[in-house]
Amino acid sequence: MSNDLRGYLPWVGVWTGIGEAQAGMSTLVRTEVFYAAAGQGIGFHFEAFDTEARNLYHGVRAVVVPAPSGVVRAVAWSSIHGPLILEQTPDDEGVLALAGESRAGNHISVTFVEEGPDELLFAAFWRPQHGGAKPDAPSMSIPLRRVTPLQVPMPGS
Amino acid sequence: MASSLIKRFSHWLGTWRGACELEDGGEGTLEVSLTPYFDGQVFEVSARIWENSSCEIRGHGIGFWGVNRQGRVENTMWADTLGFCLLEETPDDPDVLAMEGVLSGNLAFSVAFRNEDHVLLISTSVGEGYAAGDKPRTYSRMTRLGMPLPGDDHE
Repeated sequence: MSNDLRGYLPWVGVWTGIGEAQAGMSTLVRTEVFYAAAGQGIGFHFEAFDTEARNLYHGVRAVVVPAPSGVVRAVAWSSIHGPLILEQTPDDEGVLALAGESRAGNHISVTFVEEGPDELLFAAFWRPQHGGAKPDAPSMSIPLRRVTPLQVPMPGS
Repeated sequence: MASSLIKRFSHWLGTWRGACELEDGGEGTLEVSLTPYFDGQVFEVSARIWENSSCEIRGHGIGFWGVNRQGRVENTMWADTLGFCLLEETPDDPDVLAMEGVLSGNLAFSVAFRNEDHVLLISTSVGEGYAAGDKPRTYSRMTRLGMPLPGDDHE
């Protein structure tokens, strides 16, 4: 695995959280981070629902891997944006920042920030490529916690 | 309602495996898996090649098939030896999915899939620019691994 990606291996697992999308709408997010591409990459399965988890607002399947040149990118598909190739942008340790353009010309930015051993902050926004920053641009900011199995007491313990 | 990918390619889902020749002439195995996500709006397609004698992986890649507004398949993909590429479907026979795109370094990449009597055929070509069509193509035949799907009429 690329040294650039090794630092994200502790994120492997399932993460959930409820946060805010645009216009103050509450959104439930479930993200699975997994070992991918025969050990060369990290995969992400992302789902954003209404808080009752009945309607999928946004689904993304992505694998972050290095190109032969060493540049790290995400090859992805989004239920809103379609096919995507996003480039890793420099950031602090414990942060995975990806950005790029969709086929429709929208600028997309996705960031995961490690806030604690079992806490990630997911933030994303997208806007028209030449639209400039707008306060009402579609965006999402969701604190995620690692999903752990319920510890059921064993009989006699 | 079934997605257009499911309507066209549901009988392609699963894991397929077949013999292939490695670049050094050795014997290898190609395995391709197609898995639907998000109610069939996207298929994840992963492929790997390994050397039979050592089980060493010689190449692998992953791609996502979706359908654009024109009804054509688009495949955003990565392969360890090729890098990243966005492929778009090109006109072909109804039972063929042919796609092509541009790799970095002015390389053209094309891939074609055909499902014929429960055999998935895959053919690929990498070449420089407009001369890509003159380069030799690879061909592999794969059979499905595991149980037949409902509606399959295996003997």
